Amino acid sequence: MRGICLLLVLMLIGCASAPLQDAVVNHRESVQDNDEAGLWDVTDRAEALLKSAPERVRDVALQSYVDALTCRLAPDICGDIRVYVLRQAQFNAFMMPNGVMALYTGLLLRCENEAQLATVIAHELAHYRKRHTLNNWRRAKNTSGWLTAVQLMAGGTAVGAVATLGAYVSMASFSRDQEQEADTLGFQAMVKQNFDARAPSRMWRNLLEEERVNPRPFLSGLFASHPAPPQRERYLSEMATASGLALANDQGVARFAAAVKAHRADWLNDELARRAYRQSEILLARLATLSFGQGDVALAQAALYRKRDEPGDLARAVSAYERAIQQSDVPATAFRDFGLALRKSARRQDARRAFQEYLQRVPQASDAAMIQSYINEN
Amino acid sequence: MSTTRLFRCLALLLIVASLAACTSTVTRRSDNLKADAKIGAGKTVVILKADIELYELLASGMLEPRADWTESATAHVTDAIKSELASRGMQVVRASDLVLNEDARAKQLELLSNTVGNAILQHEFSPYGRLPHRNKKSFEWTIGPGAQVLRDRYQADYAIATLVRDSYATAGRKAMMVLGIIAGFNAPPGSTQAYTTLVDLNTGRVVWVNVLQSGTGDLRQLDAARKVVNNLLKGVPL
Repeated sequence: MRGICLLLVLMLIGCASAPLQDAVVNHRESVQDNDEAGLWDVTDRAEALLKSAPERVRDVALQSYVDALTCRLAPDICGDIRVYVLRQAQFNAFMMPNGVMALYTGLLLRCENEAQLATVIAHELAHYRKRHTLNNWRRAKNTSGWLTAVQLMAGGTAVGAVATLGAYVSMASFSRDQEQEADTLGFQAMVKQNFDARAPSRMWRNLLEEERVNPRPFLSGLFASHPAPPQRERYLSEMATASGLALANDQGVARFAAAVKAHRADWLNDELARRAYRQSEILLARLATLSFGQGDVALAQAALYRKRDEPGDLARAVSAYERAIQQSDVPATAFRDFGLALRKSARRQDARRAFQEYLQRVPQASDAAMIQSYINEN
Repeated sequence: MSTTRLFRCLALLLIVASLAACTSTVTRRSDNLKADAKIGAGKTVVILKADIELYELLASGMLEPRADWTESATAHVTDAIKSELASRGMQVVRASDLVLNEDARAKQLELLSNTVGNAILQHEFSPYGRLPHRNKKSFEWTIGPGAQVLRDRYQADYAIATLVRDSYATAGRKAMMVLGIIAGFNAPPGSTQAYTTLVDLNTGRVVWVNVLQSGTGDLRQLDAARKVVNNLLKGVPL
């Protein structure tokens, strides 16, 4: 009986899918198969929600910057791509089959230069060009057909469980292959534009430093469907040392810094709101070594230490404020917060000077009376 | 085939047959509304953009979205609601495709009415979703006085919002169902889940909601879609 069933079930399962052609200009017009049309339709509806999502960063300058970078990396198809910057503190980006690319602000915060951002955008563009979602969907259709047969026949035995697990693992590894393919194609696309060939491996090395102190690394989304970062860092590094890439060295630090400058303080606050202080500490220490945004980073470091408040953190906060107030564009509130940290450290004289500086800069501050009372303390 | 197996086979056949034939609707009305009240005479209703998705149910149980079916079902359902309400002597207007940048408030209210509809579904119709602080017998839901933005936008007294999730089995899935009956496993067929809410645009109050579950009907065909819409609007106080 079961044998006949198995045979029938296997007959019902579709055959292997044909290899897909790359997406070319205006691919939307050539979408014909029901499954691809369906995937585009649901993602079009998701895009409609994304358009009015509160998380979307609506800044014309930043938008035209990422759009221009996308076009530099894929001049042929960039007209079919819509990039959305979403205010989310995690390092993440995703590509929908219909040409929607999302970049999280947590990713933009972690990029050190345009070359690293180009790494991510070129990677996502490769997912689109290779039609990876459709490919994955078709594989899943075939795999889960097998899965059904396995589940039905094994009737809940241990053998069944193992076979089922195997089917899921094969699905996951396909998608890892796709990630590696996107890494490779993305690397080629960015190097072709003269971007620094070491940027991709450098970016992964940076992320690894943060991930090392993550108490729950295996639960983080980064590991679910992607090659393990160490492996990824390794092959990207090998690609960079391959010969003939000596000319590919554009980092684009100034362009990148100008594009993100206005938002950096907000994104640093979002990072602290994750309350993952050990990781943030490593991230901020790295960002502090960059040639831009040092004032914002020093303030974020000070805020981190004041919030965490572990032994030694008060002294660390004071030293971060000392660095922050060296910057010309430091906000007035930095002097007040500096004063509060000094007061807590029992450095009354220094605290008084910081408070006075604050009140001199904003005499009408809503908390002026309270700060004045601190100055008047003996 | 043993007697037990035959028995199991017949029992499942019965269940599947009854599932396939059955349409059930559950209605709730606002506390302020009398059971047989008709509030629609001479009023205007705006039909908000229906949230409809149709899927193909594959043999494996995966749901594959179908753009062509979704498009025709959206047109059929909207047409059927419009003609049904018009036949009751109501003025009917169709909502425009709102864009956030141009019509921020109206767009937000449209999204809010969807969100409240989903909350009603979750907290009034799911046995595990009931909120402990709410009176079981009372039905008080509102999108707030901001509803007047929609009232003014469309010159309408009421808004009607519809959500439909609908799936149809492939030939492979149908074969799987038959196999299931023989071999003793359950492979459920495709089905329709839908709800409609009626909102008073003066007060924002959700005055009526109807939840439909059905194993029959075909939203891909206009005539069959009309039948589904008739069920969906059964008992609407208009």
